Amino acid sequence: MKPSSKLLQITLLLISLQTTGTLGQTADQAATCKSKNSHIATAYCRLLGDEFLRKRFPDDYPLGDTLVKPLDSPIEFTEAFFDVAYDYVLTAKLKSDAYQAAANAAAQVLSTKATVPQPGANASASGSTSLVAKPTTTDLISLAAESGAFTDTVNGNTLTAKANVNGLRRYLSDENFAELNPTKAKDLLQHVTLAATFDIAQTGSTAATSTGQATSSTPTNIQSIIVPSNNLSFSGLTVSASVYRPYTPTSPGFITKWNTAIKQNSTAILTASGQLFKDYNQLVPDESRKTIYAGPAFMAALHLWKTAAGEDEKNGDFSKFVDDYITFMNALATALRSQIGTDFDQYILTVATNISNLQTVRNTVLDSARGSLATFTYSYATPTGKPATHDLTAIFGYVWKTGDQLTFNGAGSWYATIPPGAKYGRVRDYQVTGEYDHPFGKDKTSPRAIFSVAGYGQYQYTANILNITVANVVPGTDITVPSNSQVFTSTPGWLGVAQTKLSFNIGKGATIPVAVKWSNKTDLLSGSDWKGQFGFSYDLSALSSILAPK
Amino acid sequence: MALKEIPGDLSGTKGTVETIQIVPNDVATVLKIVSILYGTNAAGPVAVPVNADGKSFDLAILPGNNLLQVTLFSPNPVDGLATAQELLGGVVTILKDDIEFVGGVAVWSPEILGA
Repeated sequence: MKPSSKLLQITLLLISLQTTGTLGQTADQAATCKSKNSHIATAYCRLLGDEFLRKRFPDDYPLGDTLVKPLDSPIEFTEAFFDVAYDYVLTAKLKSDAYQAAANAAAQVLSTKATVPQPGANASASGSTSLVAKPTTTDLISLAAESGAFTDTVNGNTLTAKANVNGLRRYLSDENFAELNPTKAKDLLQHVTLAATFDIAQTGSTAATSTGQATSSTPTNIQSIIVPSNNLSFSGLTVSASVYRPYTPTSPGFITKWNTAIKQNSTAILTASGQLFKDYNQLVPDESRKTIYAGPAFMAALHLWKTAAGEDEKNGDFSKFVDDYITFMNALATALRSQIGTDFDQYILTVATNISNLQTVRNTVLDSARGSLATFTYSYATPTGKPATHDLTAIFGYVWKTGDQLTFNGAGSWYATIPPGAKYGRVRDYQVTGEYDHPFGKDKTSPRAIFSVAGYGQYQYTANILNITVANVVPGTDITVPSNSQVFTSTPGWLGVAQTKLSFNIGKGATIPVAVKWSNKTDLLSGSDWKGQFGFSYDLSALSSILAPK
Repeated sequence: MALKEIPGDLSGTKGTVETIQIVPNDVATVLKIVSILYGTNAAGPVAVPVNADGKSFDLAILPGNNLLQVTLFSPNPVDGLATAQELLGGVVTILKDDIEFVGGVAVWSPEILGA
């Protein structure tokens, strides 16, 4: 980068911090707004602060600006009355009406944002149907039941629960779904996913001590017996975080990508803005707006506000300035409620959801313009009968306009503990994988099915390791097996897997993957292996009861 | 004739075409008009095309009261303000100078009276 352009960027950054970050609102003003404990004060604080510095009320405040014409600015207006409307709708037990429908619609927008989602476990889990880890998973909560195996000789069955951290936080805190103006911290949490995988129907055995003969014919020298077990056991925990490229909003390169991303998302933008237009026009119809603005109650409230605001600005009293604006806005809300009736509160919630949708689309556009640098995943896996491992995976994905997706993974696996006397090192293996996905169906955001082909290569430094107990010893032999006993199985070197898969989307959030895989060997045997895989997953964001605030 | 602010409305001459521009209040704010919808008659709103610069549009004023909705996106991590203005015969008329971005989205929804 040339020094002059660097200097320009620094200058722009300083201008941004000076003019945008502190625009018309000092820390004292922000504290004053907060102290009012009023959403009106919070929603309009920046504009109130900006105007208080400009002091235009004593002379001639512009007729078109927000503080005298608040209905021209639906975002601030909705935010100001959202909580009151929300409480009213809940109190009136109207949850199942407009708000609920709107919340569901928002959930569907969110839950289908991933072109090729991955609700199931990663390839290292015994029953996984996904050979390649995907950069996108769920926006809220998903569950998957899968059966199959990639590198294992024996088929496994797993249950995987995934949760987007922000979705989980929102659910656990009973937070309103249609959230306006989420903080940066919440936006970061939106890119973090947690997953827990459990092995189910694992047949095994455990040793138990005999306390005596129950019949006289039983041999007296039986001290220890093997008891069959069939348990659900914890298999692994995974944390994924997506990292997006840093960007400078004013750089020509970024602006080109930004404009392209807007064009690519034009349908979603038009849908969201069209819905907002329709619903906002129901909240404040043309004729109502005209009637209210010309009505004596509003005219009187506006006159009082303008007079008081002028005095407050002259006196430098920001606190009273905010109080007077709250009084004015409450008068406007009263006028609107009397004009529109009880539907006013429901419309506020619906419009808030529309705005939330628009903000979600904007965030999608921004992520698309920035481009995902990678998604990083850490897993702690405790496969049945094998030593525990730490796995790190870097995931790179590219999505075409057609919805086709290419994904690459680079991964490493390290043993969590090395027992005394071990004949192997910390590194278990390194892996490279790639997958190409093609969606079928007219709507690429919710395809009827996704066809995938994938390849997996794993280089293993030592042969596979199996934990053994007395249950693994061939019956009839008299071998003592100390704790922490392990044996090698199969051979070190390359292990390759190829998979082809068809995932049926049988409805919003529900998926059935059916796959077949071939590998040149497995963890226990040296010969090649064919296996079928099957699963069922459901993204719970499609359930309105999950999203509905309690 | 340029659009004019009257109490509660913007006022214009029906049938005339007005060019409205949205500009950021500070140079560091990047903005783009992503959607313009206009008209509340029985036919429903029409989508008004955005000019090539992404910051202006030509609006043919409809008769009567009609809602205009201009939706803007900004990639800036810190929300800024923008101004709606009309440039006619070298004279700039400010229509609204406090269009506020919230979470990277700004919506301006004035009523326009075409008389």
